[in-house]
Formats: sequence, C-alpha cells, structure tokens
Amino acid sequence: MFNNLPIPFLVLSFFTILSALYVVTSKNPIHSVLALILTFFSISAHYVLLNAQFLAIVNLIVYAGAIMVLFLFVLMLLNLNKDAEPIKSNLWGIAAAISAGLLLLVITAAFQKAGENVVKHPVEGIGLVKALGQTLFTRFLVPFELSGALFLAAMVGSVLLGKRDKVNKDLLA
Amino acid sequence: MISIYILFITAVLVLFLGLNKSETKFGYFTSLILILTTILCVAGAKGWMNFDKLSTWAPQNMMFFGPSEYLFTALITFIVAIVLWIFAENKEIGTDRIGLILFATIGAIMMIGYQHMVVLFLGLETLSIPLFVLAGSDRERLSSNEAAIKYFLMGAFSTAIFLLGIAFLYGGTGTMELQAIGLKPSFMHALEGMATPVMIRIGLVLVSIGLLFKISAAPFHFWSPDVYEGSPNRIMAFMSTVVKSAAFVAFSKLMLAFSGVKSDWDYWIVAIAILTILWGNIAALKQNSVKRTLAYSSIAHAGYLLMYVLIATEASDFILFVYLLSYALSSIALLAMAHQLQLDTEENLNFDVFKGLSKKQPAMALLLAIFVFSTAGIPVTAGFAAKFYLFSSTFASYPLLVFVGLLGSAISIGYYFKFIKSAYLETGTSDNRIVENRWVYWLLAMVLVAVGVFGAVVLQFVGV
Repeated sequence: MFNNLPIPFLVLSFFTILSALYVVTSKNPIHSVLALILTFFSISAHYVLLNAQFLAIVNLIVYAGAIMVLFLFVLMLLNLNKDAEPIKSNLWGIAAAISAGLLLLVITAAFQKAGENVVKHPVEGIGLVKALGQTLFTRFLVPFELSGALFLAAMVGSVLLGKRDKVNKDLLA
Repeated sequence: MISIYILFITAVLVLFLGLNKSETKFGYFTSLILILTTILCVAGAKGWMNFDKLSTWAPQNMMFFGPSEYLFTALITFIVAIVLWIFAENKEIGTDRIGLILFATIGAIMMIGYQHMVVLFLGLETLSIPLFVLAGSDRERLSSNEAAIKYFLMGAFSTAIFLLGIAFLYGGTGTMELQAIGLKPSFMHALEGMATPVMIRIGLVLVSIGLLFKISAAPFHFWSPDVYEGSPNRIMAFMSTVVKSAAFVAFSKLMLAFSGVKSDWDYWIVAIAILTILWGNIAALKQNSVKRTLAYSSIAHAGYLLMYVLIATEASDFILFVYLLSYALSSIALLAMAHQLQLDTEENLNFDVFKGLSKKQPAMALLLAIFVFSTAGIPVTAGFAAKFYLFSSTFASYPLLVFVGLLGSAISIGYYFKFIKSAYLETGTSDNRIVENRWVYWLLAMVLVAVGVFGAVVLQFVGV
C-alpha cells in the first residue's frame, strides 16, 4: 500500500499524525498548543511537496504565526491549571470522535471522486507564487489596490480605539 | 475612479496634518473637498469632463464608472460633505474620525462602481470596518461601546454569509463578473425553460441577506435601532444615509443582472418589503427617543426602497436617485437639528429638544416642518415626489406592495407628527440652544422643495 508513495511524504505524514494526536491527548494546554504549531509546520511541508509554495507560506504566517501566538497568549493569561479545568464526560469525547470521523469520511469520499479529474487535467503552476502574483497584478489589480484602502482604514481604526485620550489632552494644554 | 483618488489622498493628508489638532477646521476643509468631488462627479456624469485617462490601468470588468455611477457617487460625496459640515463644530481632538469617514466613503463608492463580486465584497468591507470603529468612537459612553460590539458581531456574521453567497454564485454561474453572472440562468430560463440551478438560488438568497443586513430590512434589522442610538449622532447620520444608499445601489445592480430569472427571487423580496414597511412604521410609533424614531423610520424607508429593486431597469435610476436624495437630506437635517438643540450630550435625545422651538426660533421650526414633511412624503417636498415616482412605477406589477406602502406612509404620519407637535404645540420651559450653520439648513430645505416642485427639471438633469 505504501510502496508507491515517496519517502518524504511518509515521514511527514507520520510526524503530522503523531503531533496531532499529541494535541488531543496532552494534559497540559501549553504542550497542546506547541504540538499544534508542529502540526501546522508539517502540514505546510505537505503543501510544499504538493508544489503549493504560496499556500505553505501563508499557512505558516497566518496559522503557525498569528493565530497560534494568540492562542498561547490567551492560555498564558488565563493561567489554566488542572483544578480549573472543567470536568468533561466521556460522552463529549465520543460525540467529537463520531463527528470528526464523519467529516473524514465525507472528505475522503469527495476527494476520491474529484482526485481523478485533478490528475487528468492538471493546471500548470497553479500553486506557485509566480502564477499568483501574475494574476494579482493583471486581472485582479483593481481589488488588490483597493484593499490597500481597506487595510489602512483597519489600521487607523485600531489606533483610534487603542489610543488614550489623556495623552492628547495633555498635548493640547 | 477620480472620486476614489481624491478621497484617498484627502484622507491620508487629513490624517497626517490633523494629528492631535482640533477636528473642526479639518471637518470644514474635508467638506469643501467633498463638494469639489461632487462637482467633478456631476461633470463626469454629464460628459462635461472626461476622466477616462485616469483609469486606463483598471480593467473595466472590475470597476466601471458610467453616467449613473458618477451621479450616485456625486450623491454619496454630497451627503458626506453635508454630514461633515453640519457636525463640524465639536470638541474632538485628532482627525482620525474624519479619516475613517473618508475611508468608509471610498468603500461606498466601490460598492457603487463595482463590476465584479470581489470589488463589491471589498467595498462592503471598506465601508463596514471603519464604521465598526466609528460606532464606538465615543469611548467614554457605555452605549457607544455596546453599539460598536453589536454592530461588529452582527456585521461580521452577515459578511460571512455574504461571502458564502458569492461562493455559491460562482459555483453556479462560473463567473464573478456582473456583466456575465446572470447570463447563464437567464438563458436557461428563456431558451430552454429550465429551472434555475439550486446553487444559484441559494447564492442569491445568501448574497441578498448580506446586503439586506446593511440596509436593515425587516428580519435583519434588529441591530439598527440599538446601534444608531448608541453611536455618536454624526455617525448615525452617516450610517443611516450613506450605507443605505450604497447598499441599495449595489443591491439593485446585482438584482438587475439577474432580472432574467425574476420569478425566482421577486416573491421573497416582496415579502421582505411588506414586512419591513409594516414593522418599521409600527415599531416607530412606540419610540420616545428621536434617534430610535429615526432609526425605525429609516427601516421603513428601506422597505419602500425595496420596491425599486423589483422594478429596476437601466433607465429607472432616477427613481432611486431622487428617493435617496430626499431621504438622505431630510433625515440628516432632522438628526442634526435635534443634535444642535440638545443641551446635554450625555442625555437621551428625546422629543423635548424641540419644545418651544416655534416661539424662539420660528424660522428653524418652519425648516423642521419642511424636513418632517419631506421624510413623511407630504406634497410640495422631495419626499412626495420620490414616493410618487416609486409607487406609480411599481403599481403596474406589484399593486399589493404599493397598497402596503401607502398604508405604511399613513401610519408614519403618527410618529412624524411628534416632531411638529413638540415644536409647535408644546410650549416648553426648555431653553433650546441656538441652531448653528443655519444657511446649510436653508440650503437643504431649498433643495428639497425645489426637487418637490420642479421634479421634472431635476429628472431632465439626471438624464431621463
């Protein structure tokens, strides 16, 4: 079954599944988060194997970078210890396992059908940064430029909400 | 496109120059720039000036400004200019609020000129994100914070639904360009008599939910009275006019693209319109606060305007234009007048602010009456003309809806009369503040009466 698969893929998959299992089984939430970061890294490596560089980088920046740091901060600020952890019954575990298993089943079924088409009609260089940049700077140039206004507005907004009024009153006086 | 350039440069300039300075001067400055933009846009719409060279880099299947887009852009910039001018006298420090208002205006213009669903989505976001912040910009007041968090959470969910709808539409039609998006279902309907694919129907419903949320139509309106009441008065004036105008232009453009399969979507638009008109008008009767009354009145107006979505054609832009103009000007004027007469800004803005106005400032009381008449749609004002055009062109295809609209207008007299009653009939002990910037109110009233009396001239100008 595994004979025709490349060795890097097997190694990576092993790491991915191992660290994902550790996320779920670990008792310490900080360890869970760190293992989750490892999982994201190995998923990014999978993307590289699939020749999707851009997705790999974005996955690293957004998930392993921004979102996980947020998780870590929240965990550290909340100071979770064993006493504070709510008691969960096994029922939750069973329910979660069943729903995750169903999701796995549906996704596998969907991809088995779709996979044939993808293999039959491959698109040249679809996951490469170059292809993405060319689309972004030719066809989607207008939305790309306009999103500059959006991000500037978001930045100004966060400064407006975050700044202290007192500083300004002092400056004015 | 030219309006976006001007507004963006102005926003950045104002943000840099006005750091830690008093906002008032910059408010007037920005307002003048916006008036200039309005004039340029009108010139672009009438073909007196040609700005095509400025946007040759931009493919026309993303964003396009033809005469009607230029006119609606002019309308938006004019509304924002009025809002900034009337509310310019304030104690705010730092110009970031003006900058954010300008960014939101850019979002509104993107929603007017869009030709591609990605631009529509970006416009919706650029319009919403500054408003989330602006709703909560009065940070020391608890209700303002509440408004911001409510608007943010609801807005985020509605945007997600909207995005899902775009994905479904893309899946069903294979394109995101406005010119092409409705072709496939229309052809299938017209040539082969086939039903519209379920995917397209679901997509249409979801995209509509996202836009109906922004225009606060009935089952999606629960946020608006609370958010309008909590946010600063200037922001409420902006939200209830600019957001609604931009969303209506975008919505009617989108539905016009799908007009080939109107039988798939017109019945639920009719249902939502009826629900919105009745709910808005009846709920407004119960309100004591000026802001909440105006909020429900704006919901009711959204209901009337949904009629336009049903009858929209390429040539009927003028109905939407006149309606939005009259609605926006009169509701801004009402809110601004209440704001200026209010003595204590912390207090709830109720109808007592107008008490004894006819004795102390009779001219202002007269103007107040004109604005109220225009909002209610009483003859000789723009509100009547707008409603007349709207109802008379809807009557042929949707008579029931027009009947409900007339019923709603009749109910609405009940709460609009509260303004007149407290201004003319109640002799209050309250010492009103003086209304400042009087000439702006005179100008607005003159525009409203002129559109009401010389409606045909305005229509000719708009190009019908």
